[in-house]
Amino acid sequence: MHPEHTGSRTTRVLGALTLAGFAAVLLLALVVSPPDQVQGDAARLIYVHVPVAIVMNLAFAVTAAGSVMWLWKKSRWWDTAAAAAAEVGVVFTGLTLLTGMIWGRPTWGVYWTWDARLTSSLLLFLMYVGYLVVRRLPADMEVRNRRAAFVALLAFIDVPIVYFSVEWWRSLHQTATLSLNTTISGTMLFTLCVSIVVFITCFLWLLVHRFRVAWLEDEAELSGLAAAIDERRAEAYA
Amino acid sequence: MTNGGYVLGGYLVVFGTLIAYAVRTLVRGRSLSKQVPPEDRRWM
Repeated sequence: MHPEHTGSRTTRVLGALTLAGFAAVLLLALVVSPPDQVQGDAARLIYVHVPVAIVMNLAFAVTAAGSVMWLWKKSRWWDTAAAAAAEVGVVFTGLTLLTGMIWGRPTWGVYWTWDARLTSSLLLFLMYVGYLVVRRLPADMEVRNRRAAFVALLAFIDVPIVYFSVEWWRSLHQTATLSLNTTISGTMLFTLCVSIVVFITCFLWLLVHRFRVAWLEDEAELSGLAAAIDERRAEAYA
Repeated sequence: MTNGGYVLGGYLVVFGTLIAYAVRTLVRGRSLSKQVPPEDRRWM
C-alpha cells in the first residue's frame, strides 16, 4: 500500500497517545496541580517549559547521532533523520526560549536578560537555524550532507554548555529541575513527569512525519533532476 | 489564578505552535506524496 500522505499505523498510535496525553497534561497542570508556595500559579509554566527543553536536547542528540552515522555509513537514511530532528529541534528551542521569557517576566521582572543560560540557548537556536540554511544551499547531495553533518556536530558542542551554564556561571536561571536532589515532589513531580513523557511522544510523532516529508523532498528533487537531464539529452539529440 | 495571563500565554504559545507545525508538516507530506511515484513512498 502506498498512501498519498505520511501517516502509518505507528504515527496514528503515536498521534492518539499524544492527543490523549496532552488532554491529561492540561488537566493535571492547570487544575489538579497546586500553585507553588513561592511563585504561585506562574510555576505552572514548568509543565511546558521543562518538557520542551528536554525534547530540544533529545532532538539535537538525534541530529548529532544521525550526522555521525552519515559520516560513517554515508547512508541517506541517517542524513534524513538528522535533518528531520534538527527542524523539530529548532521548533522546540524556539518554544523553550519563548516559554522561558514568558515565565521570566513575572518571576525576574524582565522578559530577557543576557544571562548565561538564556544567551547560550539563543546561540543554540541560531546555530541550528544556520544548519537548516546550510542544507538549503545549492549543492550536490553528498556535499550538502557532509557540510550539514559538520555544522550539526559543531552546533552540538553548545548543548552541554546550555545544560551546565547554570552551574559554570552565576545565573538568574535556576539549576536543573530534575536531579537526584530535586526539591519538586508530589503532584507537581508527577505532573511534570507525565508532561515530559507526552512531549517526547509528540516529538516522536513529529519526527516520523518530518522524516517522511524530508525523504519525499529528496525524492522529488532527484526525480526533477532526472527529468531535466532527460530533457537536455532529448534537446541535444534533436 | 495569579499571573493567569502569563500562564495562559505560555500554554497558548506552546500548543498553538505545535498544532500549526503539525498541520504544516502533514499538508506538505500530502502535497509531496502526489509528486513522488508510489514505489518511492514505501515507509521504512
